[in-house]
Amino acid sequence: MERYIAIADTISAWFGKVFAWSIMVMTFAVGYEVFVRYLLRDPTSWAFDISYMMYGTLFMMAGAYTLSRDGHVRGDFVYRLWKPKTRATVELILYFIFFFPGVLALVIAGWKYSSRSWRYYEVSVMSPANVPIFQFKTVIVVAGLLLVIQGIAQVFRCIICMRTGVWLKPKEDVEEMEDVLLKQHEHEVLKHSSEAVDAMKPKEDRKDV
Amino acid sequence: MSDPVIAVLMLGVFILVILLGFPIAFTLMAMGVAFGYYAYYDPERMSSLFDNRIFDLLVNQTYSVMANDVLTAVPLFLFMGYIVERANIVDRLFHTLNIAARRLPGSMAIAALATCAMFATATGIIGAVVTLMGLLAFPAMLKARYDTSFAAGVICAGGCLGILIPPSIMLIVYAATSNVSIVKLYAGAMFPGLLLAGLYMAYVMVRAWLNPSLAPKPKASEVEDIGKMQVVMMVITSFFPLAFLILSVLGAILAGLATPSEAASVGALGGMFLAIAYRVAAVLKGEATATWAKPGSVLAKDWWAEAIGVGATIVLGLYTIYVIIFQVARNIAVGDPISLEGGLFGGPFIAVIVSLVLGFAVVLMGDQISFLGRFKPKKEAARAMMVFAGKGASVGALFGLAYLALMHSGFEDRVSSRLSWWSLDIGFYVGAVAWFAWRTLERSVLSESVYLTVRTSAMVCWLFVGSWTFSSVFSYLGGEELISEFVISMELSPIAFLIMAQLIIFLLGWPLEWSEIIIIFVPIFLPLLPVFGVDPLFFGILIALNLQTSFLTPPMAMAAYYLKGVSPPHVQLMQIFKGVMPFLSMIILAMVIIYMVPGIALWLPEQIYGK
Repeated sequence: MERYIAIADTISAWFGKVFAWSIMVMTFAVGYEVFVRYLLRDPTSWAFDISYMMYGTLFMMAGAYTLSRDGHVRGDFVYRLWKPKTRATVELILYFIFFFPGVLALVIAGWKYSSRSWRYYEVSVMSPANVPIFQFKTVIVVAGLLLVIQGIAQVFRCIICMRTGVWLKPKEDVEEMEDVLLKQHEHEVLKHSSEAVDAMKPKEDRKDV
Repeated sequence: MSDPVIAVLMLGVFILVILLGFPIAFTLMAMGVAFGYYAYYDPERMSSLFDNRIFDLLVNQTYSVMANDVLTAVPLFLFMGYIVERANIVDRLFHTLNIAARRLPGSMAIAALATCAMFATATGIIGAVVTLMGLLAFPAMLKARYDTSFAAGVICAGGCLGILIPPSIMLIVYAATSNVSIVKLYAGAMFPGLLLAGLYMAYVMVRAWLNPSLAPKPKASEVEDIGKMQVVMMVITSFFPLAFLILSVLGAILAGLATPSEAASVGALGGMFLAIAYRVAAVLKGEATATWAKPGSVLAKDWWAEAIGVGATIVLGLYTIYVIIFQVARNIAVGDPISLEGGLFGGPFIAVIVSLVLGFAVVLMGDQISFLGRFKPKKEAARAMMVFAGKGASVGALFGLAYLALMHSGFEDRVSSRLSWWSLDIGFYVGAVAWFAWRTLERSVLSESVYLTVRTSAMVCWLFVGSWTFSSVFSYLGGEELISEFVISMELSPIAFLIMAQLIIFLLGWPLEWSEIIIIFVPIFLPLLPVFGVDPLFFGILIALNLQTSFLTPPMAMAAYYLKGVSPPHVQLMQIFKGVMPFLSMIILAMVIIYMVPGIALWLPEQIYGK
């Protein structure tokens, strides 16, 4: 199980991070469009298509990556008061009611939708540049499949947590500035009031604080 | 059960499920699919289990989120925010403003408030602003014997301004849910944002003036003795770049020049430029280290690249000054459009040749001729940077030459534009700038910003995927109508409706975050607005004001928790809440003022875009 979780995390993170770089493509494409349109009065016909395709791809592909890092917003004002074991039990049930049906529906519907588009190599109607969009519609299927893979990993996480009482964390990754600072600060408080802590705790225990 | 009752059941179940803490985006999607399967169930279309129109609806809604032209601005603005957040701009900004404001009552609080407001505007990330300022300005204020509650309130309230003052992500999200034009929303939020910031400032000054013990004046020994000119210089280097970035993004949108996503991408590029500029300055001053700036990192065999780099830099610098003085001045004075060709003298290739001559002259003869020697970089870091620029320029020039040859050799059958003659020059300078930027920008800052951008965008946009599916099923079942009829049957006056709506949003802000409220709950009110004659633009501004409170009110006062997390142990959560209270009443005061004088919100959009 741990193995599967690690593999799923890696796959999600890999897809999420690779497609994350489309933000750079998007920035430069739209930046170029601004330059040629407002300074040279010679707009491109493709920049708009690129911008929404990059945007759509990046957020869809990152759905599973965000899930693995617990980044999807939840109404957690009751949830946060529970013990990890209770959380895991509730979440395990909810994954089967509220996660898999929706995501599987997305995969199936997306499959129909994109295969129809592949049949005649659909192009965008937003601009005259004939930018192909059948690959863009395929993103729905891929994103859904990634979510299924990651969802199974999350289910395994719940099971492990129910057994051991500890939530299995994903590998270290970039974190929001506030989380980094909060952690650093915690560290420092512990360090500065070290006399009291040292007296009670052997040093090895504090490694993972 | 009739369909509308099912719809109400759907909403009820959803609210219960939120309490359980499952990721909301997927809850919405699954519930939309399940109830939609019931709603669209058609006994004649049961050839397979999946023969139901709900699947078409789901995928169509997903695709319309993916191809939404308003939401494209979300990742771009987030990206700009993360880059600015990680570029070490904020501590210099606070330090500078603190010195500049030292004569005002409660000067440090004013400086903290201004820094918070600017930083929150540029990044839009409230958690980061509050924690950073909590580590930077909060201890400084406590050390200056400021009242703990007072100082805490300033930082929490100031950090939340980012969701109101444009370019805020929240307003983009509201625009996508309500179909109000985003540029109009930005124009409408300008003055209310300034009003609220102004109210905060006024409050701080009046309190500090009435009760000096809250914010004691710094002793003469504690104030750094810095000359006026130096203060001006500090303001120019640390305040103006960020202000310029914000103003150019906003100006471009408000002047109708660019769409939000265009302005956002310019902002992201500007953010990268700022990050590079601050980094280069820090490395040159020796405040930061970089592997490429260590002694001995410039190899002797790279002298040619150094020469090319020096030349390219000098010409680019001169050209920038020329453009600023002549082109921009003419643009402002006469209204001539900025034309690129008018800005380049001579013909193609001249600029490259001038660069090469200048560069080699400086490097080879700089030691003999003192005038040229002045331009020769002396520090190891500066020389390394020149080598980057030179190498980039060489590669770029090669590409430019190849393109030129291709376009003018008859191989390509196209009519080559006038611009294609410039491709050598373009390649040369673009290469120089690009390689320079790539090597000097801290790579970890870039990749961290990219990854965080993608995670936050996924969070916001998947919520849209779920919510649009959910709400179309909800209104198909007739839930929306039922709510409308119910509210209309209450026979409220418009003002009572407005107060009720804002009160509900205020209460929802206690347990929920802004993204959930805007994407899921605000759409319930939107169809009611025309009934009561409320302008959705005006409503959006009130919500933006209102939602600041969602960060400040317990039990889910994220801003207060962030501040508590980074403050010294003796600061108590209750003290922070106590300090936040007056600012909460300022927010409500601002809402009342804007309700009484709607022109504050509506005047600017009408001026710019007409009614």
